[in-house]
Amino acid sequence: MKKTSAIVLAILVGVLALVANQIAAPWNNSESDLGSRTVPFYGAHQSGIEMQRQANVTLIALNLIEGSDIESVGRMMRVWTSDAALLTQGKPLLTDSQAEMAENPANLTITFGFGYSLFEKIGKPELWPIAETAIPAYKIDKLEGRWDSGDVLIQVSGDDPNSVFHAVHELVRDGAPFATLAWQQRGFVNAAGVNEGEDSRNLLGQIDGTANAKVGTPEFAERTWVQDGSLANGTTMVIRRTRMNFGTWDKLSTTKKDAALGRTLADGAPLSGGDINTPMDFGAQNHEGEPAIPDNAHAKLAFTDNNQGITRRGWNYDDGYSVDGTHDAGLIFTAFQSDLERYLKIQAILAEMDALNIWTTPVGSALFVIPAGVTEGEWVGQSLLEP
Amino acid sequence: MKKLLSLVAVLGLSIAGLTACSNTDKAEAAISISEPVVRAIDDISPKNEASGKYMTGSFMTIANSSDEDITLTGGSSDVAGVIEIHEVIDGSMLPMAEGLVIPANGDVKLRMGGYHVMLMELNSELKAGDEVTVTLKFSDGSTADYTAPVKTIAMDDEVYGVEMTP
Repeated sequence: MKKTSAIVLAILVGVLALVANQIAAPWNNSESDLGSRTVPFYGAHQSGIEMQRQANVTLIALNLIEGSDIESVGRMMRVWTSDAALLTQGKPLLTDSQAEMAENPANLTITFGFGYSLFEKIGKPELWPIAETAIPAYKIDKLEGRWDSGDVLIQVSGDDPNSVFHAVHELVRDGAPFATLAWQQRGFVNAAGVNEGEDSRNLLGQIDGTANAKVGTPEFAERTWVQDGSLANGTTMVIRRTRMNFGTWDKLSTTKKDAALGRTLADGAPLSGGDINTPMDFGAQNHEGEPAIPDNAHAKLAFTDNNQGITRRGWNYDDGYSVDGTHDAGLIFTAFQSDLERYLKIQAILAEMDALNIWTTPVGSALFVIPAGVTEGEWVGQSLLEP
Repeated sequence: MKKLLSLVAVLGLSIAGLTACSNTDKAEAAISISEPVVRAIDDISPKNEASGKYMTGSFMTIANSSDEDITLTGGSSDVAGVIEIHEVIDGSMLPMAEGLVIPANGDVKLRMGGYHVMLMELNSELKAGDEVTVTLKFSDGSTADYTAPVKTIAMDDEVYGVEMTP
């Protein structure tokens, strides 16, 4: 009897200790239903663009295998469209190699694009829907040839890195009869729930995406979605991999960092005053009589008016430290625009004068068109390839 | 996630209940086919040596929302001369002469290495991204159509009862 009581007591003490440990746990991330959240796949536009960035992205570019034609590209997109429609809704593919990994989509989106080279390879360059076929070379570029082109682009974004991995794995495997991987880039911004409703910072510490149009507004649509032609309800996508040079940036004073951007690091307010939402005043002067926002400040040079805006969705990347101690990290700049001309105008100015060019080096540069969204029974790209 | 699943299960059951009560043509409504797929022809796809024509498997989930068991007995398709219901036992693929029972208010998963609908005497070499329409036949006289994408499916050779060569 005594022995039993002692055992009961020991168990009680154990349970209490466990409970106490739970209460005292200095973290709390248990209240989220994030894992089961889904973003609709079908719609007028492809998903993954007109929404707040999820925490993670993997961009992959693939090249068609030899002997591909418009018919095989159609079959490839049929397979990928049906895969994406399931995976984004948290449903494993029947052929899924790790079915359980599909169960927590966490806002998974899968977005498809095509490069000009695809249209060339299938002998249909006339179906390429815009005038430009590539991003021009800029004098600031030090392209490494690793992230510059590709026949097909797939952007897989989501708030859970496992789910993003799994979707990429399934898509590449199901695409194997048609295309092989050209490159991949992985990026991140703040985790879901962190910095809610505000723009994430890039790795130089700057709030990135300021002055983007708000999701769901006519301004966003005007900047982003093509109005007519075979690319109607689609868009153009620029991907510029930009390495950051932290060595000198880290030594810079906050004042000089602010001056390079034209906004404060602290809260993104323009140096002409106000808060992050205050329009920049290029006539404003500082106490020395100089322009408050320097003429070569990034935000001033990138400023557009008269409906010439674009939609920037940048992602931070971190490829770790090199053996020489430099940190290979930076920004996977992605921009979507209804008219590529708008991007080209801004980039031409930035390439010539931007103060930030000292600390940033473009190492990859790619252009894709993003076809319209689809309804059930259609495949992504049908509007371009079967116009 | 678990909570959500059980909610889905409860909803599913109540919908199934409603269908069974309200529908007079119970057989038509009783069977539903979800997420079907057909395996693309590749170098391990078996061939009928006599006719020289390929055969391949189709996989899906078949649900029966009625209160009675229904047996899948066969099917037809424009792409296949013959359709049989097969299962894999000890690495060998065997036709199911009695058919495949879809239990009342239950479902059966037809998967690689298990039950499958065998499309035989194929008229063409099915390629990834093609679409195939199949009509399945059931013991109560009902039929159910599905259209499935053709996909490459990596699998053990055991599904066709072929010995792996080291």
